[in-house]
Amino acid sequence: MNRGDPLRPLLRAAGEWLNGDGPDGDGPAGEPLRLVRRAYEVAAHWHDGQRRHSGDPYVTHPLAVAVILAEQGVRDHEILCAALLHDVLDDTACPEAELAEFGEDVMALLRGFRALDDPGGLPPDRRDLADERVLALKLADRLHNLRTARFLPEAKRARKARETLELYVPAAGRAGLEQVGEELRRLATANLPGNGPYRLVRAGAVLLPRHARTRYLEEWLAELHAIPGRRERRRFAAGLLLGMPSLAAALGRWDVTRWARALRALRGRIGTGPGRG
Amino acid sequence: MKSNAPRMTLPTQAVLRALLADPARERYGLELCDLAGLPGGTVYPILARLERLGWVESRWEEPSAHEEAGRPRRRYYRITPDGAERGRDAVARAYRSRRQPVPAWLLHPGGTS
Repeated sequence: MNRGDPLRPLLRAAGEWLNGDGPDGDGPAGEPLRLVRRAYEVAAHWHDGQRRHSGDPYVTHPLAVAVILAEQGVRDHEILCAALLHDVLDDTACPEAELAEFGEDVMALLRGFRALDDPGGLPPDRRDLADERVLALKLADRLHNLRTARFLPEAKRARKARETLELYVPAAGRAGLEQVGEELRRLATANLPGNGPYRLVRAGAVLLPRHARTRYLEEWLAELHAIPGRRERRRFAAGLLLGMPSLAAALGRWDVTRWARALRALRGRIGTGPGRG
Repeated sequence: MKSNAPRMTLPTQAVLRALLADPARERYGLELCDLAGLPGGTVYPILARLERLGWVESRWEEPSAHEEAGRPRRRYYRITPDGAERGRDAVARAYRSRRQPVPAWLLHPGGTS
C-alpha cells in the first residue's frame, strides 16, 4: 500500500489476513484483497460525482463503513466488499448484474441489507432470521451516519437518533458488537434535542404497551422539542414520568414490578417541582 | 371498555373544558396541558381514556407541516362531535352537582352543533 492509496485506512484496519487466501483457505492467495480493491473501484465509479451532506465525495462513506467493520475484527472479505458496495444499488444507476462478479454471497448480503431498509420489513432486532453479517453491516452504516450526523437537518437527526436508541443499540448487543453499540448509544443520545429529559421519559415508557410506547415517545419528543427552556423541559418530562402508571392503566396495561424497576433506576435523577409537570 | 363515560374528576373536567373551548380546533398535548393548567402526566392519561371512549380523536400532523420547519411531527387532538355533546352534558352535570351556576357556553354552545 502506498501513501496515495485510498484503501489505506481499510488495509491498516484489516491487517495481514486480507492478503491471505480467504476465510476457507481455498482461494488463490491475494484473492480477497483483489476483490476488496475491485469493490472499491466499482463503488468509486458509480458514486462518482455524488457528495455526502458534509461535502465529502460519497465513496468516503462506504469506505468508512468497511473500516468500521475491519476495526471491529471482522475478518471476512465478503462483508467488506458488501460494505463498499452497500449504497451502489439504491443510490446509483448500477444494475444488479454489474455486481455478479463479486459472487453469490456478496449479492446475498446486499439483498439482505436492502431488505432491512424496506419500510414493510421488520426492524433489525426482530428479524430473527437476519444474517448476523447483514446486521453488522447495517450497524456499521448507522454508526458512520451518526458520526457525521451534524451535517443532517435537525429533524432527520432526531429521528435517526431515536430510532438508533430503540432499535440499533439493542441489536448491536445481539450481534456481539458491544463497542459499536456503546458508540451508537453515546452519539444518539447526544443527537436528541433536550436529550436528558427525553432519556428519562424513554426509560419510564417501558411501562407502556409496546405499540403505544412508540407513538407516545414520538409525540413527547416533538413536545420536548417545542419547549424552549431546559428547566421547563425537565419539568414536563418529570410530570410525564409521574403520570406513566396512570397512562399505562388507561391504555390497558399496568405492571407494578416493571414500574418499580424503572423507578429504582431513575431515583435521584429527576427533580420534580411546581409548574408544568 | 367497561363504561361509556369517564369519571368526572376535576382534571378530566378541566381537559374537557380545554377541548370544548373551541371544539373544531385541533390542539397538541402541550397546549392542552397549558389550557387545563395540568401536568402532562395528568393530561395524557385522560386523553388516552377519552380517546378509547371515542370522545377524542388524534392524528399526526402532515409531513409538509413539520419537515420544512425541521422539527419532529406533533400529534393533534380534537374532540369528536359525540364527545363534544356528551362532554358538555357531563361537565354541566358536574357544575350542578357542586351547586355552581352552569356557564352559558355549556348550555348554548356558540353556533356549533
